Parts: sequence; structure tokens; C-alpha cells
Amino acid sequence: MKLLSKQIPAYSFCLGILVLAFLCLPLPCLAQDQDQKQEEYQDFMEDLLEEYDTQSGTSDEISDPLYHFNHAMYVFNDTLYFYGLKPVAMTYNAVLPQMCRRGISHFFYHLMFPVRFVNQILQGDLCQAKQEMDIFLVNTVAGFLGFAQPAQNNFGLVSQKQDLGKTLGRWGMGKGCYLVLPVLGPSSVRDAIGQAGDLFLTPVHYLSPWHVRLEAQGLDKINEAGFHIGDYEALKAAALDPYAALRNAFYVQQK
Amino acid sequence: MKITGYFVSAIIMAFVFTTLAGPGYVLAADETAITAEVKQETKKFVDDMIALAAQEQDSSSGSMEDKLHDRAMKQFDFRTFSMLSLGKKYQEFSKDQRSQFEQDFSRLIARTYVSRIKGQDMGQVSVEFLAPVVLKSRRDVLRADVPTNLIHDGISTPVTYRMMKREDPKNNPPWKIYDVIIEGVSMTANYREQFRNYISESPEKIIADIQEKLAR
Repeated sequence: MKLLSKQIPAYSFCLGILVLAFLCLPLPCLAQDQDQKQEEYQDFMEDLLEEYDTQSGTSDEISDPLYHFNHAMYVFNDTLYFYGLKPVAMTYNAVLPQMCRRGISHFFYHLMFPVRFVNQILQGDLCQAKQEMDIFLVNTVAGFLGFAQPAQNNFGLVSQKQDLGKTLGRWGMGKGCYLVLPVLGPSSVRDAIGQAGDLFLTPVHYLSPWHVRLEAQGLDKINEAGFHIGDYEALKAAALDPYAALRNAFYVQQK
Repeated sequence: MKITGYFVSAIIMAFVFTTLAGPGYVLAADETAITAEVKQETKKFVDDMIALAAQEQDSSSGSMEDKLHDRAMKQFDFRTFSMLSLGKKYQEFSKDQRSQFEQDFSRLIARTYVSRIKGQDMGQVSVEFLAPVVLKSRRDVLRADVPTNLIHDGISTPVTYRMMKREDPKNNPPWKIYDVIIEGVSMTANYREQFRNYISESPEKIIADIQEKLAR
């Protein structure tokens, strides 16, 4: 009995230590858990970033050796938009109802048929080229020379934008460095070559005299701009570096 | 005796086959379930946003921004969005700077989009949902792309929501948007490109620049 009473404090001491030890155990565990979670999250992020890098359009492949020229052209185009194109397009929008503007937009798209058709053939996409031809015929006959698009709206045919820049890309030519063209906007060396080549297939380009041609090109540009007022402004407002934002957007879309 | 032997081996074979083939079936079924779930949740989010935008058309820009921002924050994993936007630079941010950045950055994006849709007829806006694509899971996190077409004034703009499934402590929906891809351009990749110019700048400078844009 005496022995037991002597042992009790020893027991309770041991028990106390054990309880304390148990109480302390979860604390470092929790801290470790937090650290581990943080680390796992970090790894997860790195995986995601790597995934983006393997997709094209990340900046490693964007070469911009003409930065100073490009930036000057970007400022020029920006000024031209806010003081020229935008006010004109807004007035134009106010005068012409949307239905007419849409018709004009469709008509100019229709006119670019040779560019799409020839480039689809050059890329070996004969199925799409045939479909493009069908669309052209249907819209010419049933769509009042392309002002309406019954082929797309009623027959479910899908037209696909193509240009020589994309064809050259398909043939293995690299994009070349970034190039901002005055008035025409973001481009690349490959694209600029493509655009020059496509001119031969652009009916508007053969209009004469020259001022009629310019008027037609201007109408196309203003009509198109009218549908996108606010887009460029939003991009600029959300961007910390609008130049880099535009460059990235151009490169990703030009895959 | 022979028959029993066949019977037993048949049962064993059946068992082996079901266990072997099992995961494949489950995976296919899972994928259908995932796509259905993620599509439904995204649809709810987009519908909510359009309804809120329509309802707030007559109130001030500030109030509209608050409402849309709050709803979006429930669906966005904005921490991941910020981290992906900043790229490696994120490591240099302290805990406080990270939350400050998230707060201001999300405001900047919300303000831009509110100014874009303010005054627009929301009845003319419709969204077409295409079949979601389940992405490769990373570290056991389920992920999916939800492609949509945003149609306004007869113009169709492809918008894809990149989502991952994370349980939310505040009981918000588990599928979180962590990137938005507009016309093929990823928002986070686009910001990452812009923040490249801040490579030698401090986190304070980045936060200050965003706040300056907000104050304008």
C-alpha cells in the first residue's frame, strides 16, 4: 500500500508527460502539413506554368528585334485609331443601320473568296476548298452577291479564313520577327510577305482608278472597325503594357 | 470434379477481368460525370453574371462592379490566376503583397469588363456551351476546359473557361476558373508576357502601377 502511494506521483508524472507529448505532437505535424501543402501548391503551379510553356505562343519564341520601330508604329496606329478611325466609325455606325453594315461586311468577306480558296488548295485541304467553292456559289446566287450568307446560316456550311501567311507557315516557314505595320497593325515578317502575295488574289486591289480602290479599302476598314468599337479600349484599360499584350495576342492567334 | 475446376477458374478469370477492366469503365463514366458537372456549374456562373449585369444596368458603375466582382470571386481561384499571371515573379511577393495584389488586380479586371458591358443590351447577349474537355490531371487535381461562344450583336466570340476542382472552405462551388481564354488568347499567359517587363522591378512597383490604373 505504501509502495503504491509512493508510486502514484511517479505514475501521474509519467502520464502527465505522455499527455503533454500527445498534445505537442499535432502542433509540429500541423505546421509540417501547412508547409507540405504550400510546397505541393508550388509544384502544382510549376506544372501549370510548364504546360503553358509547351503550348506555343509563349514569349520565348516571340522575337522582337525591331522593338523601337514597332513601338513607334504602335503609337502611330494608336493615335490614328483614337483620332481618325474611331470617330469616323462611330459616325458611320450612327448613320447606317446594323443590317446594312452587316451586309457590307459579308460582301467584303465574299470578295476575299479567291484568297481563301487558293490557299486551301496550296495547303492541300481540298475538302475545305470544295466547301468554300460551294459557299461562294450559294452566296453569290441566293445571297445577293454575298450580302447575305445563306450558305452558312441555312445550309450549315462553315467557311474558314485562310491566307498566304498561314500557308507559308504550313510549309514550314517560321513566323519571323514581330513587325507592326503602319495602318495595318500587328504582323510578322512571314505575314507581311503573305499579305503582299495575297494582294494578287484580292479583287479590290484591281479596282481603278486608284482613288476608287482606296475608297473601297477605306470603307472595308471603317465598316469592320464599327463592329469592334470598345474592344481595343478594353484591352488597353486592362493591360499594364498594352504593347506587350497586343504582341502576345497576335502571336497566339497566328499559330 | 473437372466441371467444378472449370467453374472455379471461370469465376477467377471473371474476377481478374473485372478488376483489370474496371478502372477503364469507371474512368469513362467519371469523364462523362465530370463534363456534365463542370458544364452545369459554368453555365450557372455565366447565367448569373449576365442576369446580374442586366439587373444592374440602371445602377451606378460602382455598384455594378461590386456585384459582378463578388459573384466572380466565388467562382474564380484568383490566387492561382494571379500566380499564373505573375509567373516566377510571384515568389518575390510577401504574403501581404500577394493579397494586396490579388485584391487590386481582380478589381482592375472587373472594372475593365464592367466598362465594356455598361450600357449594352444584355437581352442581346447569349452564350452557347460546347462540350467540355477534360484535361490531364496534375497532382490529382481534376481539370477541364469549358469552351463557349459568346454571341453579341451577331458576332460570336470564343471564350474558354479553364477550370479545376478544389474544395472551397466557404462552401462555394468546387469548380474554380483559373484562366480565361478569349479568341485563343489566354489571359494569364498574356499578363505573364506583360509582367516580363517588370523583371527588375519590385513587387511594390507592380502594385503601385495597378493602383494608379485603378485611380484613373
